[in-house]
Amino acid sequence: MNVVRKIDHHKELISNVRVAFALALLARIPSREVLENVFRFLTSRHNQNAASLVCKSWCRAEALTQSKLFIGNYYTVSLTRVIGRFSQVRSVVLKGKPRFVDLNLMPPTWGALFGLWALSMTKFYLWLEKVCLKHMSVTDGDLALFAESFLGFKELMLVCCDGFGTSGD
Amino acid sequence: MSTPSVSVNRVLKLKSSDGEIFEVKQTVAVQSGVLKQMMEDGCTEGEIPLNNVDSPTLAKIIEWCNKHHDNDVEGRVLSEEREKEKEKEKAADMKKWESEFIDALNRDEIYFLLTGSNYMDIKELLDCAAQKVADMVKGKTPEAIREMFNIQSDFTEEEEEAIRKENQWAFD
Repeated sequence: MNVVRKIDHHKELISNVRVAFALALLARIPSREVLENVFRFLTSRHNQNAASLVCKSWCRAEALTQSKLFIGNYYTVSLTRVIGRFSQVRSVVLKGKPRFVDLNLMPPTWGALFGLWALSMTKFYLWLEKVCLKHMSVTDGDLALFAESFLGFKELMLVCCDGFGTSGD
Repeated sequence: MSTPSVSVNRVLKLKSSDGEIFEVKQTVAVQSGVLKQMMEDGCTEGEIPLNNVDSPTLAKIIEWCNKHHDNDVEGRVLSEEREKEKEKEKAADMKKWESEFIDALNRDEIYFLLTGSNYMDIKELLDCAAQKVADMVKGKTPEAIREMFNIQSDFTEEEEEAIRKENQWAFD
């Protein structure tokens, strides 16, 4: 009787393993490479955002297909998170102070400093080609660092930025 | 298309992950980057094991390659204008065939085709399958995508919320 029960128990175990295996197959997570191929065809930001929220591997693969970053509000993201999430960036648009800065309602030294971002970009985005900054405080030091750090930099656009001089050498 | 080591009549023996053997003409097999490389290196004797591709998927992949090969070699001498017209017609026919081929597959079959064509490095088929999967994803919420592909989210609530916020405020 005991033997029979043991065999039944084993059978049950084996069938459990099979079920688990089948489930694992069903829940298979495609390789990052395969996912990247799919995400190349997701062109709208809306669809890319949805894909990034599915699970961690989708989030990573989606981030790898992003070569362009558009940061509409400097204050809403942490630099470390951006660098950690997106590693293949070649083009960045970064907007700093809010629009009403134009109405002279804010003190001139009010944040939106580019310094730390500049330093991180030179460290982590060696292949950066294009940067557009709007309403940011940019120093001559930031610009000098930028000028000598990238392998194929092509375009820098400063819109309504302040803090830098005319030296340039 | 042909390289010196590829002859018209020779066949390759491809072995699927579940042990089935498929014979494929070398001239057809060159569409796979992996097989092409093997032919150039002269190491296609005997069975070639394709451990990541099962037999139903390999059959589909070969069907695709045969179709695209037929399309390549079918050629009669025509006037230049007629030739151009014919080209256009052929391209349209092929597009139609491709979409029917992909649309006839279920979700799992498309998935296996995607990984199989990636593994065998067949660019056109990979693009076609990837486009199809992307079309399936488009316009859906993350929850609906998870349900469709049977994916469990491994985000904590906080992690998901952080990414949602970033997406919303920073990257839109």
